[in-house]
Amino acid sequence: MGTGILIFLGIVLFGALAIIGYFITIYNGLISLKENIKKSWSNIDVILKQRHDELPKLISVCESYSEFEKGILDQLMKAREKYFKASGVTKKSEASNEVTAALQGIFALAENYPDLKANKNFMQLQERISHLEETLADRREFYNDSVNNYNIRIKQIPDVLVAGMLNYQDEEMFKVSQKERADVKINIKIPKFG
Amino acid sequence: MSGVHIEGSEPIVALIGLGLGIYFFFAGFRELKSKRIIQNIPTSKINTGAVGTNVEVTGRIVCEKDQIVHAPISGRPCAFYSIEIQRWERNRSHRGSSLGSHNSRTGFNRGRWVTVESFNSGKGFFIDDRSGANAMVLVNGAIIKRKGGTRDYELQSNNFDQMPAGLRQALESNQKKLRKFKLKNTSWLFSNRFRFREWHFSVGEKIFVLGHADSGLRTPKRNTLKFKTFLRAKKVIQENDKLKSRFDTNQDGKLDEAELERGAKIIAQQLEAKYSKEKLEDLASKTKLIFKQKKPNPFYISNMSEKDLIKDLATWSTLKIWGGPILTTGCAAYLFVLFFP
Repeated sequence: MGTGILIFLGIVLFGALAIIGYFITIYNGLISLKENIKKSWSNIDVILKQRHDELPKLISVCESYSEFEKGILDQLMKAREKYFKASGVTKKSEASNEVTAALQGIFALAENYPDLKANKNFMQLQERISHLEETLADRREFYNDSVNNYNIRIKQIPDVLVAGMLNYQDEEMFKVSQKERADVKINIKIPKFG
Repeated sequence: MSGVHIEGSEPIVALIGLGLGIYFFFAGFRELKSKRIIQNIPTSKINTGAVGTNVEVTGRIVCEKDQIVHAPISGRPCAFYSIEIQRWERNRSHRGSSLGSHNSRTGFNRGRWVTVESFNSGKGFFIDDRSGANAMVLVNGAIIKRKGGTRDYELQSNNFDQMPAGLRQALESNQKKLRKFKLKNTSWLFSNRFRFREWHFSVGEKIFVLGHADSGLRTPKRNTLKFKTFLRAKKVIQENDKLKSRFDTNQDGKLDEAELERGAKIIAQQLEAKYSKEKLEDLASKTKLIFKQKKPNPFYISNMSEKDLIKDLATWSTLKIWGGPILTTGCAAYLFVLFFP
């Protein structure tokens, strides 16, 4: 056996090992990307569940003020029910956006009720829900980053070959509602002088 | 070997090269895997990051004023430093190899630096990403990727008394942990060359961390008293008549040195317990994540940006995956020609 053959065999052996190793790395990478999406969705779901549990308390505090607008509370109740029935990322994110919009409506309306705004329970709930909303926004960003990483990776060479074998498709992002994207209208009452 | 007579260290070097090539090949894949993990995990905010999983954060090192330490060799104020103690080991064989690196020398001074011990200024540091919370990073077991050099100090073991005061103090305070290194002047005849290598993370330095994040802050209980607190406690007793009579065990109306020291120890312990509790409460209120090694999760700490770190890992993994097989094949071919001419 000549030196040339030995070098050739070495190249073939390491070439085969490199291809196998690279395939395993890509395969494991794609699996972990997919699992990252599931995990980051679970992290959102935990926060949504916590917020969901706080809503009845908020509704009962608001209902104790007889003059508080019932329409907005009904809207929140409906959104809560919709979230409860929803399954899958898209439907849950839609229901979650409705809950967020209803909550924003309640907190905005509470500005007109100084007694309610000063209520200790209401203040605590507002603080807790605001914190959950903030956490939700960050985790939604994290989830979308995970989905974005995955969606890009399954289209890139050489990952596209392995993704094709695994039949991996694009995942959907957690979309922000039109209401949240819209500009906030601020009505400032300017006092009249003279 | 079919009657072939082989001399010199070349075959040994070729054999080492063959093994190193295989090692580089697999190490390259490990780095490729790390690169992909870093790419796959998006950056979280410390305040809202999920615990109990792999988390990636970037932030600046924060440190309380009284927690700032001075790097022993450079003397720079920092949040964390590490010292590696290396000993110069001469090669025993007389024929030299052409392999030379930062840690090895060829020619008359042939040999290499061997790390015998290492120690850190503490268990870790805190980082803040302006999300309203901070994270504690316990560095033990982490892969540290640093940009920026190290500071070295070399001397013979018979000249240990000439080392900088800061380094000496650091070595003395860590003496119990250092089992393979003794800070003792040896005679000129048996002296070894030592190198002390320092690196540090400064306060305000931007840090990238990827690792398993946990919640809940538990600080270790202090068993030793700070000398400063002990002296303070001594002064408190001397100025307070009630304390004086409390620690006057033989009731002779005088507080002798032994009584004073015993009392100072008790008071100092109380003072430190109060101080630690205050500190713990202060830190716990702001610390949301604790990064520490948890196998098999990856644990990276770097002062490079994520982009630079990925670039660095990509370069090294490519070099190792391609360079390793070339080295192994080359060495195998050389050995083949040598043994089967």
